Amino acid sequence: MTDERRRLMRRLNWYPGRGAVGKMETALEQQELEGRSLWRDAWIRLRHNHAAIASLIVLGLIALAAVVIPFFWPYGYAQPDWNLINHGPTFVGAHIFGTDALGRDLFIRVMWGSRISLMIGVVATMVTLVIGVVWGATAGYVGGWVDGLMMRTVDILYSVPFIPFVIILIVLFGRNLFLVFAAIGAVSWLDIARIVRGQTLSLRKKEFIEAARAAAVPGRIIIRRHIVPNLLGIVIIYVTLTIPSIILFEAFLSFLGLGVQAPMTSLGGLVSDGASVLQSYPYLLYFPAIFLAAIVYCFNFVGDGLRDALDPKDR
Amino acid sequence: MLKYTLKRFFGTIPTLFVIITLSFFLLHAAPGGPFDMERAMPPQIKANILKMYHLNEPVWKQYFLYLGNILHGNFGPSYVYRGTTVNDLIKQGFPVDLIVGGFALLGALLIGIPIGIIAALRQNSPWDYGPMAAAMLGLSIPNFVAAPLLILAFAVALRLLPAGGWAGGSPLFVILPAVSLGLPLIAYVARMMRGSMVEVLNSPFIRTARAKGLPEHTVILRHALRPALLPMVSFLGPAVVGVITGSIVIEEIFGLPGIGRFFVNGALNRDYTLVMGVTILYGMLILTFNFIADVLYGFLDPRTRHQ
Amino acid sequence: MAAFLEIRNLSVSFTTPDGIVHAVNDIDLDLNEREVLGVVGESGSGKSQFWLAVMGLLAKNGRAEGSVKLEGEELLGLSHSRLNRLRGEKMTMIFQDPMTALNPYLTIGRQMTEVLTSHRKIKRREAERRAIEVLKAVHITGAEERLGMYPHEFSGGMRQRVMIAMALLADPKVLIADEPTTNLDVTVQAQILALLNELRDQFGTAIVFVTHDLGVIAQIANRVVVLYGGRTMEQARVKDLFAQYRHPYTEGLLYSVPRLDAVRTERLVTIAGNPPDLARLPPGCPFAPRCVYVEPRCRRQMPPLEAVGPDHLRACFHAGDLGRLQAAT
Repeated sequence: MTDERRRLMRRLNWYPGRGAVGKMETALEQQELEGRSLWRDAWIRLRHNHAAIASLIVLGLIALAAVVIPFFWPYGYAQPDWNLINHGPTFVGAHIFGTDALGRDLFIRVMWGSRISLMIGVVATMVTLVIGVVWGATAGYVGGWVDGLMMRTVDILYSVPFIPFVIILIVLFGRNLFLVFAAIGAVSWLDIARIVRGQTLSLRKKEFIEAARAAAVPGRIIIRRHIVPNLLGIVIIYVTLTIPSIILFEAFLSFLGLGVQAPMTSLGGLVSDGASVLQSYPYLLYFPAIFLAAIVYCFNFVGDGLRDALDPKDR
Repeated sequence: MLKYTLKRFFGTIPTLFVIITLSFFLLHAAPGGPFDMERAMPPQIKANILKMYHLNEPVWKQYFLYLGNILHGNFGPSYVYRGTTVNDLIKQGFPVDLIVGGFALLGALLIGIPIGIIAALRQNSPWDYGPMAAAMLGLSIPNFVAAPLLILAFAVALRLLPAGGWAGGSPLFVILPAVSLGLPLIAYVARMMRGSMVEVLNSPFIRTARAKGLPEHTVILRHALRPALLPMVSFLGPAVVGVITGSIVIEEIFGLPGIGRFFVNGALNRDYTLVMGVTILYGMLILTFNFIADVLYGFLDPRTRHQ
Repeated sequence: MAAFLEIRNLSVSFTTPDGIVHAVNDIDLDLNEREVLGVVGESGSGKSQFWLAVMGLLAKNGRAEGSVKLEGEELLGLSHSRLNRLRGEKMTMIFQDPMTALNPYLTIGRQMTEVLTSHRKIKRREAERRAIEVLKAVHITGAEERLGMYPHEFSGGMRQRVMIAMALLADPKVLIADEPTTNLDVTVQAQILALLNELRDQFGTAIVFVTHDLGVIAQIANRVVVLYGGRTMEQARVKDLFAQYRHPYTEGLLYSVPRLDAVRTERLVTIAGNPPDLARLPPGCPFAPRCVYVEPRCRRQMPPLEAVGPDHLRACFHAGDLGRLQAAT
């Protein structure tokens, strides 16, 4: 029996009583089944989802490779090997993915590309998360005209064709990485803001929040203990589904020539370079494309799996 | 219902205003101007040109001038494609996007919806896992990868379709671009439809319909289909956004004379009016489709219809 | 007289990621024509799943075993088309929340007439006429206009009436009502109960009333069966159950209802403990962990259902008197 329960019972003037019924009750309290928290339930469900688990493993391997390999691989991402320009995959010189038009090793470039793409995905997502969650939670929790104003803004911004805007921003202000993050972040926070606001709103009305308020639990504790954990589920799902879409968006920008600046490259950049020489040097497209597709694919599976695990209604 | 429609309609006006204002000041805030790229030009000529286009005046004045022009339907001259107005450029290029984008959207709905429905009806069977996995793949591959692959397959290897160009819009030239554009859309629609259908099929009122002893096809067609299709209507707005974004890429790969390339090149060359024109067009498209989607949704859901 | 509905050894289980959940365990039950059978149990007693299995409406991961014979015809394993012919016509079911149980996108008229048009090839006009008749029978005014309205335009009580009307349209032999009044106000509940009584006389339908509320049972049922942990604990005529209950669980149910006229005591009487985990049912009586009269053999063996009076069955090993909970109040 947890401390909280004990305290609650004392409040309600409940004491282990006399008589047979009372004794039975006390004995039973001691055998109280341990409650299973929502997270444990979700984790069990997730474990059963083989696709999601496999995806997590693959993602983990790719991330590990992207982080670790550049440290000890003999080639740098901008390092040309003049002997082997535009060479297909070979064991000669350990160019296992081949080389590109400048003789750079494709394998290490794919590793770096994965690193950059993942980084962009994660960082930009974090940015949109912070903006979106703060905006949405505030609107949902405060309510009233503040809510109205904030969400009206979201509505208007939603209809703005943001991709043209991002393009404008990048074209005009240069291509430093920071700006890319900022631009992506600035347009992606709308979705999560809406979702968080909706969730906060419905949570605020729920009975257990009312109960907590009635028991005079201070506001910040309500937020910490009740609202945040309930938002966490949605936020996690959103994160796993946003990262891949941001990675794809960056790929799109790279295709337009607006992505990460050469010689540094992202998977998107590699893919768009490879796409242009598909007929002559297909491997230049295939290898990075496989990695890109794998990352996006796996994130989506994990996101789906999490959604099923945390909200199993529609299995 | 009428009130609802009017409310939505008037709601779009401030948004359009924001789009115009935001783009205008953003463009003019960036360093550089449309004629900086030119080969060295005698300063007087440059000054004259700037004066002719009102580019030497303070930004806010240019803004109001521009607004005024727009209200008369005049999007101004293009700075880069000298001799043509933005209106003309758009008139030439937009139909291309309309055709390719329209077919992509239509195809996506006509193919994606049945796939999604079947997947939902045969949940957790090969009819579900197969198409959904394929859809996921379709969403994971950027269209500038899918397009070259399709070109490789159908134009180069099989020689069935042209690898690019427009030829005035003859059907063969529309197929590959429309398919490339529509592929991720089909995937998204299929997944969404499946999810929505599954959710509806688990609703209490479906159980009631079955309890009444209605044959399964009646349950699905009369009771489940309508609510399940509703999210598709809401999807119209984002779908258009997707088509617009995709079209920029597709135009480049297939060499189509649409307005997407105007957009990127225009931005690169600081062709203010052109970029503004295209941006406003995109904005209007999105707003229009959002409006249609909202109204349609309100109409289809009896609860809002009676508001 | 052979019962109209004969259920033998019905068990319902669900396959879930957490293991197999045994919602209903080996229950025998008979239903006679024109009688009102009350089915009482707490949440998780299997009372709803039991009847969903009878109607063939179990979720995809559910399985029913045993035998359910409707007028001699075996329902379990029946072909889908034959089952559909029986559903709606011979047996119908209404559910707890009328707002979600009705399709919000179709008019009431459509949802009602389709029962007749699909079962009996009756023309729409005729079906509408009949629908109006039944709507009047459930005391809904302005029935003609109501046909063109949508569910959200009705109040909760009216929606439940519409559901009842819809269920009675094809003159079924049995109406299974799964907690139809749980979501309604008490006053509305009283109206619905009175209505059901009236309709039973008028239409001659047998009614199965599933609930957790003994008060409702007292008002409407002829016979009662008490379920716990997916098993029958006690089964009797209504008067006998209230006056001469013979099962500890029944005693718990009866005396845990607070009475306005009782002497004020220090605390409410409850049945100690928690409902059973249906995925991990212990051998023996499911109520044993919470029973004040428990004996060692209760935990090892499931007590058989035996007669303790005319039309009165119970499943319990305890031979002596009951009454400890009554003393505690």
